[in-house]
Amino acid sequence: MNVRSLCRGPVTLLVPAWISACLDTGLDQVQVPLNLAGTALDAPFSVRDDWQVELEQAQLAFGPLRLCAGQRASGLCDTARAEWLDSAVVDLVSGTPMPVGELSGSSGVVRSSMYDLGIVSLLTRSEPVLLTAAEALGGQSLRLVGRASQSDVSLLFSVAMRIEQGEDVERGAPVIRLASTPDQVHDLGQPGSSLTVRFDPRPLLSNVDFTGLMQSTACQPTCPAPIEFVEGSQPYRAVRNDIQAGPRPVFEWRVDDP
Amino acid sequence: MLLMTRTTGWVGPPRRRWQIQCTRGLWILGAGACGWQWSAVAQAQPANNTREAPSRAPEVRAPEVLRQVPAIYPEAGGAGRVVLAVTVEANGSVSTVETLVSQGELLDKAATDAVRQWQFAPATRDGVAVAAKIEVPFDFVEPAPPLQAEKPSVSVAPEAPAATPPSIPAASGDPASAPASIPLPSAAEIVGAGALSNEVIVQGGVTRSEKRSASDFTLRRDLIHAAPHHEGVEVLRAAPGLYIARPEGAAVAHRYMLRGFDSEHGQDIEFRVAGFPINIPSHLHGQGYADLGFLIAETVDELRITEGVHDPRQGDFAVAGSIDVRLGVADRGITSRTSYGSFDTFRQLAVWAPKESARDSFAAVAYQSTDGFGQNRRGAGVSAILQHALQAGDWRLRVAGIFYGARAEMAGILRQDDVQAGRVGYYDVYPLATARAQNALAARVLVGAFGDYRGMASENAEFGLWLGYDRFRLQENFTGFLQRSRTLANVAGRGDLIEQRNRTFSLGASARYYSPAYEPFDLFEGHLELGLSARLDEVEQAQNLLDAAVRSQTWDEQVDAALLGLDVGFWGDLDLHLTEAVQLRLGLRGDALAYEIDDRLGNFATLIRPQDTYIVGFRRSVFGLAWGPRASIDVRPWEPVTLHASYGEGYRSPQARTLEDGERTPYTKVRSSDVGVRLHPTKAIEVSLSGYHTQLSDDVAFDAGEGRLERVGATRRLGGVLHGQSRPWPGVVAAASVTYVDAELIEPPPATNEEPDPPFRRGQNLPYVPPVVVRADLGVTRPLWALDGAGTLTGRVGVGASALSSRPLPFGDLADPLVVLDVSGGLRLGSIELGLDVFNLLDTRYASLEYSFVSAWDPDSPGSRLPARHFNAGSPRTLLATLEIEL
Amino acid sequence: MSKSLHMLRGYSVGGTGICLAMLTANLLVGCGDETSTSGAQGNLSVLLEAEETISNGIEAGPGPEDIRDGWSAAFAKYVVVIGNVNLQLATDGSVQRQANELYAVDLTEVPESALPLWQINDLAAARWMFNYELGGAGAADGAERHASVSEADFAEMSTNDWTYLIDGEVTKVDGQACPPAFSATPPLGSTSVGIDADGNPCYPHPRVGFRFGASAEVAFTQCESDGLQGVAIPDGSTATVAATLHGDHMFFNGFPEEDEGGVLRLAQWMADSDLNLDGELTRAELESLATADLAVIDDRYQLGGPENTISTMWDLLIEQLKTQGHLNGEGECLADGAAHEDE
Repeated sequence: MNVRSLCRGPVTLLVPAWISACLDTGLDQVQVPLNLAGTALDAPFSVRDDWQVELEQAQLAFGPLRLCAGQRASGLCDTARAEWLDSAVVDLVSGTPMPVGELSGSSGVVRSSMYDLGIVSLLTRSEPVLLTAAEALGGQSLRLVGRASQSDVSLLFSVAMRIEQGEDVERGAPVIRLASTPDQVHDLGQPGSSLTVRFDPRPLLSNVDFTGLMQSTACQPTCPAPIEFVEGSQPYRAVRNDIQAGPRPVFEWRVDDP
Repeated sequence: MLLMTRTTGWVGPPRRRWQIQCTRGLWILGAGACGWQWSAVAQAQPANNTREAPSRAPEVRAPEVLRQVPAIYPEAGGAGRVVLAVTVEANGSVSTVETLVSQGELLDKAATDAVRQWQFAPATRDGVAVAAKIEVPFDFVEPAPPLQAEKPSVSVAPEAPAATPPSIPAASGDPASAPASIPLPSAAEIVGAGALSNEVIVQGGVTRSEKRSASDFTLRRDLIHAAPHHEGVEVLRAAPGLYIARPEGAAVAHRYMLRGFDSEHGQDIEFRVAGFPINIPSHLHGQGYADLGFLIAETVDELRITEGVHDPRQGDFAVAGSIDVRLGVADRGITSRTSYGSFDTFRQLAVWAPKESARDSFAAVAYQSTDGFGQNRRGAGVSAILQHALQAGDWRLRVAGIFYGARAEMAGILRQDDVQAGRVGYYDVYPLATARAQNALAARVLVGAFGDYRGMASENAEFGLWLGYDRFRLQENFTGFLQRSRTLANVAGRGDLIEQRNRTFSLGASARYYSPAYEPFDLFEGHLELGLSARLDEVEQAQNLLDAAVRSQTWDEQVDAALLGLDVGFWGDLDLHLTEAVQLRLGLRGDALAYEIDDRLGNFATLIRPQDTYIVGFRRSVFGLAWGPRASIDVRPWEPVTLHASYGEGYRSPQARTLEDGERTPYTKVRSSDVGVRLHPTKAIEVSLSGYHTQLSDDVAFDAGEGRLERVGATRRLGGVLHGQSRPWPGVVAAASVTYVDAELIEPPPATNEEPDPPFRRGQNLPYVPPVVVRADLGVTRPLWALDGAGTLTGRVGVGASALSSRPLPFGDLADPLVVLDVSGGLRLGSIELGLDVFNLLDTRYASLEYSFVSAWDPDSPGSRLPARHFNAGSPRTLLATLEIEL
Repeated sequence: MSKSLHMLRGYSVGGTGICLAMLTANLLVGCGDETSTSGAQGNLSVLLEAEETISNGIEAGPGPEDIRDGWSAAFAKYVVVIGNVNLQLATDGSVQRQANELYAVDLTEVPESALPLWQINDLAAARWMFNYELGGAGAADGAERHASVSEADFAEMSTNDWTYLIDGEVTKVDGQACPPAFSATPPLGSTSVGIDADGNPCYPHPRVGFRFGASAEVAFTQCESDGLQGVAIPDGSTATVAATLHGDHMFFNGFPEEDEGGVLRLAQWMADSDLNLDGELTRAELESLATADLAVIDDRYQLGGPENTISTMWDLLIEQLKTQGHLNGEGECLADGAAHEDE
């Protein structure tokens, strides 16, 4: 029986209600530790046309993050249930959770989420705003450097990409809105809750046409310098589309004994 | 010889029980009537107070009463003789009334109010009608103890001894001694009409109380004017459990909170001023919008507060209760009152209250301007109230007009975190065009004619006809920069400066009739009241988004609607006196509600649908019936104690624009029950304690993010009110009240796409509702120093204190408790008074209102989507010096 | 007289006290839970309505509701399996009423006055939440064929458990198709007239026909219109509500959550996906193309809000088809595809 239950019923007439503890406001204010993590990659992974990829560097600017009560985010999440307004650079190839701060909000179930990748579109401006994480990546949301190999052919590649909301769709909306999935669902009212958002870089490259990329270069079989994914090219679009609509990060909720 | 007859008088609510005894020369004119034959008296007592002795004694005939309106024994009791000097003009009307012997404001007022309604055949001198001045004494007698009191009879023969309780000293048959004669006015030709010493004895009702509940309160002038008032509506602060704030500035209606209801701008309180219904249905800024900014405090004579719903006369918006503001001016003559003080606040009041008229006849005009207590709070307004009452046969007719206009800049809300971080000052406005452009304009005219009839056999009636016109325009930004246009493609973030325009033309009528007593057998008396109220409202309303940075250009259209609302209410009410100790009322009220809605922006989807496939707009019509019983029972087991229990079902009409075609009017059903006890341990003290339970089928709460009221589901309030008021010594009045409520959501609102499990949960306390409201008022007026030849120096001190407990806000937050203390002092010498009002004496930094919602006030950074604490600053310490001159 | 009077009074007061106590108890404890649902009842007729984009097609043009890249769209058939209308009392979600019929209806044949398909009677006169579903035509759902749907089409839908059968075309007088070179199989002799942003050759292609059979089961829940949830049932009469299906979402460049006013309608992807340039776009072609393979799925597209992940152009089409359910024209519903994630 908690304090509030004592305040209910006939006792309400006796308990001085100006004692705040006797006011049931429906929700409680909560702070939930937030960690960001990537995925440790022990071996090269396969992508389209059986290209094998090794990542030397994979960094993602992440944040702000908002957790929503509804099945879907964005316009249905005008009032978030919890949020982390900061940003941080995630090492996508490190599986160790990195504490980045706390989610603030109120108790209740969260089901969906939305986030930006270090670059935020504001309703009030036509140009998006760079947060510290994106600035740390040189104004980019994502930086990948790696090597792709197929048979005896290999190439170094690099990706530097801004992921930002286009004005043609919804200015001011977070660039990525995740509809409800089971891993996102959690009751923030559970004491001892913490969240780790874990990213896997492999799907980001799964639709990259390295064959075409290789064919477009003049340095076969091996290129000495990394080939940069040019904005608008298929490899660039493949990464961009998959980071937006491809496999999502996993929300790892943990409840420790407080 | 003593005759006592009995009837029930007084047409207006609440009904009062009184008895009148007429002594000396009393002739019975008919069963159940008590009449005066002044001529007989005059003949028996020839005039002996002539100013000059004529050579031939003229044939003088004293005024003869043609119509006598009984005095009403005051609710608060009291006893003693009030002697009035009454000038009866040559046309038989009463012109001036002076109090020769006072028994305090209450009894003086009862006597004066009565005699002003009397009609005479004028005095004559040698057959020529002349003005005359006569004395009329009123003897007020305490009620008899109920269980010893005989029921008076109306059919006693003139010779019969009075069936009067022996405990009533003034009814012992010992007549009042003849008062000294009063010289005629010098303007009158006649030298005198005789000293008329006929005596009116007004006896308190034996057991009947017109109050239906222990939560009904009548606050009189001395109490409601004890504490200082910054503006007229603050006289309401003396009402138990009522907290009022004006967070949006001087041209927007106050926010009212009453016994567990956050009534917003009036949606839960039925306001009536001078007979005019004030709430405006389907107002864009809030259902039942009730802007009382037009009130001039000095003209407020009495407040009648009915908390809960149990009287069939209570109509739309009577959810938490009803407040009836009676207007009148006690100090007759011409009064000028000039005030100046902090923040360049200036107020000029002029009141003309003709001395020959009753206190409800007056004209008053007030102008007020201020720079405001912080940035962007400049405002000015003017209010004029005219009211004239006259007697026409058995009817007392009253015409009234209210004219009001105000414009004020608004500082709007601030985020608490912005203030704490020093980004904006507590009393400042955000340094943004969209914030500085906040302002409001209000204009209202109400004119009407009202009549009331008091019969001698306790029957009474009222009617009213009124017209109203209200104009409202608001520019307000609650959320900063969150809106996007649905009219213009890819246009967003120009500032959420919402423009609201609302125009209402109203036409209304009311009538009721209270029947004579039906007394089939002893110990039973029954009355039937039938009533009708009707109003028609034509509403035009629009809401747009304005871009303050570019000459307030319109960048989105959100509402454009025309509404027609018709509300016809009808009721019947049985008033049954079962014994001397028990009174039962059983009533039934129904309201037929009809609406026609022209939603000109309905079906608006120009950015989505091919424009050649549809025409924007919906038209809808709706009809519904709201009805419910109203019942109360009073038991008076012994003299100082009255037990009350009451139950009523009321309703609140819907916002018409939200209705669908053919929808059964989804009015909010209100169930209100109240039990309590009222004590009068002495005539100077009244204490009441009541417990109440109110349940709403479908409640709403303010959603600042949406800028409107949102459904939160069924709610209930369980609480109590302790109220006491006392007049322990002459010139001293004190009152205090404590209201406690446990306001809970008993049925969570339905899930929406946005909120599959809404933040409102079963059993939680309702947001914005303070569980505890405390109010205390104290007023002291004492003569200080008698100055030779210059009158008496009189001192006045007033104190008013309000306290609110911590209260829940949406999303798990709590608002801070607050205490505000106002004091007032003044010195009066003759017709001049110097005064000083200090508001918020302790200079408490408090939030007038607090909210919790999402906003984005920094246009250059990603804003939070979490609900944040916002507030409207309350006024800091404010001084106002006043000079009052009576002419 | 006096004695009897006192006795009477005593009785009366005592009786009143009892009444008072009973009244109070009743009032404080027994306050009924009457809502506007008590007693009064009404009926609901549910119509199926097709957006004008289905019956009239979508024109090319600069207007916000037009297809902006010069293509026009028209539909010969737009068959959908729709039904399982579910109502929930707004004040008590546990009170539900259903009309479980599923109909396969060709939306191009739905009259201007809409098609009354479902009727639910004796509903409490109150506000009800409105939900409905797009189902599969297969045996599991047991859809009923409406007269607007041919037996052959219905049989095909049933066999494949399709939700949609959409037969239409996009046309553009000077239209071109620029299929990705690595998978394009243009007819021999085709002559390119230019290249796209990726360097893929473009060919004249003024028309692309399509006939999609698609499983896109979805529940549209908590539909609201003009900020009002569901539908209000009037006392003693019949309310009408329309389940409206839009036809243009397959051309959207994103997944707006509420207002669709900000989206662009684009159709070049259809031409570019016609890999064999035969003028008929097939599911196989769409499934073979990653969204990144088309140069036109560029920065104008924001794919960050679908129900499920998107890899191929077919995924993109399905996710868009799952958002087409509306209420009374433009009212929004929650497209709850969570229950259908596995398909």
